Amino acid sequence: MESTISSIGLNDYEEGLVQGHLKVLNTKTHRTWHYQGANMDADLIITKRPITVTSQTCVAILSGDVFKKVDDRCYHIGESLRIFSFLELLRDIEDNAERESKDDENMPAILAAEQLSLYCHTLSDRQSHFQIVIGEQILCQGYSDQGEWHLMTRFPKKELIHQLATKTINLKKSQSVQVQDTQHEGIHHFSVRAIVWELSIAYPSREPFKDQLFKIATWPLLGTWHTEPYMPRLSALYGRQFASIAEGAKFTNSSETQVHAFLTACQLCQLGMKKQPLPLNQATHTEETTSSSDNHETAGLLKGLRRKLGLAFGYE
Amino acid sequence: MNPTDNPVFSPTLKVKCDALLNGYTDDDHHLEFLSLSTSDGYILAHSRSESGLLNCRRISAMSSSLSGISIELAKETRNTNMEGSIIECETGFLICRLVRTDGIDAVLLGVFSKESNHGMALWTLKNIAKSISEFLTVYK
Amino acid sequence: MNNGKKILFIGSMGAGKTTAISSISDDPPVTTEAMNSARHISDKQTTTVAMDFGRIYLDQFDAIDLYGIPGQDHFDFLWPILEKGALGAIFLLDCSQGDIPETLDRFCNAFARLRDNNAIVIALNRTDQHSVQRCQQWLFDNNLTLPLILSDPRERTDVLMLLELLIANVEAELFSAGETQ
Repeated sequence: MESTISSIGLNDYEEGLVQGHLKVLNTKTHRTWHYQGANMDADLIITKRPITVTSQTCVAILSGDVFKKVDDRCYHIGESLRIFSFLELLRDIEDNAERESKDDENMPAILAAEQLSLYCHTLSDRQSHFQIVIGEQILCQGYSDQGEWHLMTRFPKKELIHQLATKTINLKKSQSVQVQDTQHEGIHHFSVRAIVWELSIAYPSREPFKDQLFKIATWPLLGTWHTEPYMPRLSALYGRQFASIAEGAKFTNSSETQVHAFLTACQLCQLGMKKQPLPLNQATHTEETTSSSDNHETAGLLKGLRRKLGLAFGYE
Repeated sequence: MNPTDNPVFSPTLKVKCDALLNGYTDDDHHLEFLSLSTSDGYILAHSRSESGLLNCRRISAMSSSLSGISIELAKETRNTNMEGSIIECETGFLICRLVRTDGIDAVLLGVFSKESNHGMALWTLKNIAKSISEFLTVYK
Repeated sequence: MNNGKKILFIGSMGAGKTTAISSISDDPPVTTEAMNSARHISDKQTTTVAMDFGRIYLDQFDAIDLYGIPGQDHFDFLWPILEKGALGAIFLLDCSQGDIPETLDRFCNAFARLRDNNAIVIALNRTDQHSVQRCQQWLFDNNLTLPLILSDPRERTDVLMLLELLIANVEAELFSAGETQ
């Protein structure tokens, strides 16, 4: 993919520096960046003063000593235009762009999960039925069985998830339906919460999230619902205490996006999510105590047990 | 029905067994207490206890646990056909003995005073176990 | 060999404790079985009268001990003895037997120290949606956040998943205490 850089107010030396950096760095970036000289029409504009640009354009101001991200569209990269700051700038712009494109991709799935969760949560009449439709096509029928909402459909799970994730759905009440059992050829039954869970995990929102402290009151049904290796630890952490997304990511060696998706899934599956603001000093919420030798020994034993039994989580 | 009562034993049989055990403790002043339980811990019968403070339910369960562990310990040390076990105390000693009959595996526990002689106590309990086994076989 | 840490298997008679230990123990487990005279409660031929004991060897120095309790109430004097030093407990619940809330009450109260530390994993066997709901409702009513999972104690992979959840909980506790690895 090609992207363009231009400049405003740079002298010949500085422009030469930009071009020289690009020759080296284009092997280290996902995109190929081309320098266009001085103009206002580029993906990235390097300038010495703040300027007004379109919402899609990024601006990098030669200011200060070090690289600093002001927001997703504005950066300070240091007056001396060091090559490593320049590399950091290009990579961050690329990551943002990728995230934003995935945001658009995941939106139907996110909406579908939210719609389904909200609809079932607010349906007070457990005798009622509903349908999920895409256009004129009925995707599945919803019904309640022993207090839990289920979906009955002709689609296998993978296909159902794909449909929910890629199309705009509508939910509407329907007449009572005859619930056919799974012996009936081609009929599948899924718990609504299992579907909402899987949608939320597989298609996470990539919008910036407000980090707070989170806690859940109920464990997800791991082993029955879609389960990833990091989920037992996340469930254990948020089940026993309030913790931030950063702490969850650190504890499980996973990304903050994954942790955010997990917490979103917990919320949509009605697992008793509670939130608290982060402490003012933004320090880690966990106690900073010196670990005892007992704890250290226990941690070592558990690590050994995981290794011995080949248990899922590996975080060497 | 008390969940710790054993459905194997009828009330009539229990009364007879209680009387049988009381007879043994009455005859031998070194033998302070007897209890008979199933090998899985249910009370079958017990003699009177002098203080009246013994928890016979727990004693039955503990006897069977002791027997269970003793059997495994014997196997682990390459000994076969465990017959019983002894617990030594400052104030006396306890002997546990297996009683096998058709249909019931039981554990007999005897509590002996410290004045009792080990050899005599073992012999006494062995004979009591034999008598109980015969009694249960006949009664059946 | 150093003394190992301990994991407990708890639950009513016939819930599958002995089976679960057998499926993961490195040594053939020591069992203390006697003839079951209470066939009206569980139709098993034998029942545990003291404990089951298994072991998972980590290396030549370390091991994790697996203890199964005898499930009947009259053996409850053994439960605190076996509980000492346990990292946590796997609670096997056969949903086809007995009253589910009553069983949950009994064992979670008997092992209150582990319960209060979130160190009990509840494994449901022979279950249906209704049983899962009842368990979840009981946890909610008692303000407990314990892992609940459907599991067959005969299946090694299922039992390993139970261990996974237990280990995760202990690790979360250590993480909270500042021990990170």
